[in-house]
Amino acid sequence: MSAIRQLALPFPERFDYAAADFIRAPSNAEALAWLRRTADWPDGRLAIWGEEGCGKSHLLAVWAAEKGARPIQAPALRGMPDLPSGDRIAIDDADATCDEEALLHVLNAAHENQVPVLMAARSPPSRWRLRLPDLASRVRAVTAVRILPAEDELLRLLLTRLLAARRVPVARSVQEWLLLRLTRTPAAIREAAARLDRASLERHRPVTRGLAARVLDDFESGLILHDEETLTADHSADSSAYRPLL
Amino acid sequence: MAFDSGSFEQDVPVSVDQPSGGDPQLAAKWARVRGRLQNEVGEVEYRTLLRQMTLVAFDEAEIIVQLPTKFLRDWVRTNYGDKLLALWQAEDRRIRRVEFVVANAGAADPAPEEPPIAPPPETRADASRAEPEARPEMAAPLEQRFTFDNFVVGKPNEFAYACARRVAEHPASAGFNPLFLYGGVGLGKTHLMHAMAWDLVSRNAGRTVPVSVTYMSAEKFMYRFIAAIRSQSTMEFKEQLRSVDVLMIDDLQFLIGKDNTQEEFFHTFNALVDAGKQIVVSSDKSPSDLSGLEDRLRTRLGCGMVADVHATTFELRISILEAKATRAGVAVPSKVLELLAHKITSNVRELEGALNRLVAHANLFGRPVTLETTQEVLHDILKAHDRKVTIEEIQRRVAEHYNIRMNDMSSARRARAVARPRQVAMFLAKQLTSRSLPEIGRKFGNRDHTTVMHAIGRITELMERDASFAEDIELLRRMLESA
Repeated sequence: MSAIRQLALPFPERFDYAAADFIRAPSNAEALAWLRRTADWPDGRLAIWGEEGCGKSHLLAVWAAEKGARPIQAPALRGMPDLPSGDRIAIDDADATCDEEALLHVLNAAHENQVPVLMAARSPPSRWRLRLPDLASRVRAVTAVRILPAEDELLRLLLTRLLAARRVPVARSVQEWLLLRLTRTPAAIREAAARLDRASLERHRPVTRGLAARVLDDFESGLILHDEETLTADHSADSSAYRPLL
Repeated sequence: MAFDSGSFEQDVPVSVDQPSGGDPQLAAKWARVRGRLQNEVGEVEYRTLLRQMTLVAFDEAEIIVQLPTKFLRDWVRTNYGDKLLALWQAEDRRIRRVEFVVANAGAADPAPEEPPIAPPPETRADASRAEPEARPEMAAPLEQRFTFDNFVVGKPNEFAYACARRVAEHPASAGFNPLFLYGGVGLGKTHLMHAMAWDLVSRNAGRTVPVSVTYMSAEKFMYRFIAAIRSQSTMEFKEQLRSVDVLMIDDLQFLIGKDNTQEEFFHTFNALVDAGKQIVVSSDKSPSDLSGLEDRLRTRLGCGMVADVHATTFELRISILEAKATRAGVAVPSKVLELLAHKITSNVRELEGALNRLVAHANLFGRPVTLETTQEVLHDILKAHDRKVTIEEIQRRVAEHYNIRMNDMSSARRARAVARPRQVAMFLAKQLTSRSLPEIGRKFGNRDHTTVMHAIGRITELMERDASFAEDIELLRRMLESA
């Protein structure tokens, strides 16, 4: 049996969503082109959508911060909220809205005040499950732009970035070894970085190919990483990226 | 476009090789240091983490390097600080220290000034230009484009249109007060109300006392009412509302279940009608179907003119799209208009939204609107869902296409008639799924990932050389995605 492991305290990645930390790639080029041209959005509204971990929250935060705004989490919208201050409104997880009247109110009020609204979601607005017809018809008319599945090169840069953000040194050869074997999604890359970080902390060992192989085995056998990161609502990090994958 | 992390707003190179002062010798040293560092740490690390270094200051003993974020600064300092110092010392022995600083966010990445999303409307519903002491906060601004001229009339909306015109010409005439417009969402009720307001204001512009029109959504009515209660200014609220000539309340169904606001609206309604003022109300249902609204209010709402706006017909949708495209000054092929009118039947708002998207996309990327770009840009609307394609489906479809047996996908046979389709399936599995290469290999008779890599390379090469082969693969890909 293995020796007793030391419990590793969570050491979450912190990107602070700086503009310079965003990795540009062909898969997000169209979204970026739209974000650079807020004035051209039909009706002043835009939705960006794409798979888990594809960088939606990052883009949303960068766009909002240009005018000193902070993204709103859609599930937290309730009642008739006052419009947040700032010249932009950014709504994250917009397809997870609980109070549809509250979202309708924000959209209407923003339109009336000529404040542009950016929404981010996993699915395109035309497929959100909404019960309020007034909201549904407005949302379906929103210009939607997709962030396409990540290219291999983007995943490669992302893994390097995430490991660096977690201060986990991993040799290039081990990273390449992992990249070949991981599911080719940003979410899997994030999960792998979190697991490697934890495994290395627990064992007081640098990440070798052997350790990477063990982490990958756990990953594939469906072992779910229970980490405080999954449970705490950390608005500065894309907490959705830590949801169990398998 | 390159893979790059760097400035979000501008597509410019992020590294600056010219240090302040523009000393060419120093720049050459810095370039050599960077070059050596890149050789030592490798391409990916360099590009992701180090490329954004800028040399900002230099004196005889110290070098100051700037990075755009705190994270990058810390990472570079911890992992490459010693290396950078050693490299610098190799260039110049006097250097004692390398300092790392974070760029001033505001100065390094200025957000370009953008115009507001739309020019501010010059006129408000309550004619604030003509009436200086008007109440700008009471009414919602009117859409410039929602005029009678821009309203496309067809069988489904001609009655409501005629009623709206009549009320704009002769407000508060018998039998037309209140005017109650109802119909599904996004069919033009709001458009008609705004058009009436514009018409009323311009028609009465020459009068000594200008006509006062207030338009607002029921939601806003409630919001204002609650705010007035909070700030103990309900009397002011009542007075302001009751001094208008025409009051328009949009989406009345919003008041269902909100008893206090309904009560207040009922009193306002009575006060205005008694004073001979016009009321226009819209809702998604007829007065008699608005359950959840007080009976006395329902009765009063139904005692004027009730006009319904029906769902659009194909012909009306085409007319709307044609009018809208002409106004936008964009050439949209009739096949595209027909596709939209055929596929987006729910309401006009969504229909116009789709056309707006097409036009904006065409303007942004400088591409004409064609049937192909339409399918691409409106993919999410035209398709109910994106399918997740499985490797098995890919194998089955490719086997059918090349007329081979399904189990040849995983057999050991190496004849080209079998091997090439197998390679095509591997290539498509890489394109259409997020499976790793070893996983794909396993699905093809436990082949090694290097075999999969070879297949992808081979098919890519063939597609580049042979256009008809490439077309074939593209066809397969589309069939799989839309199956």
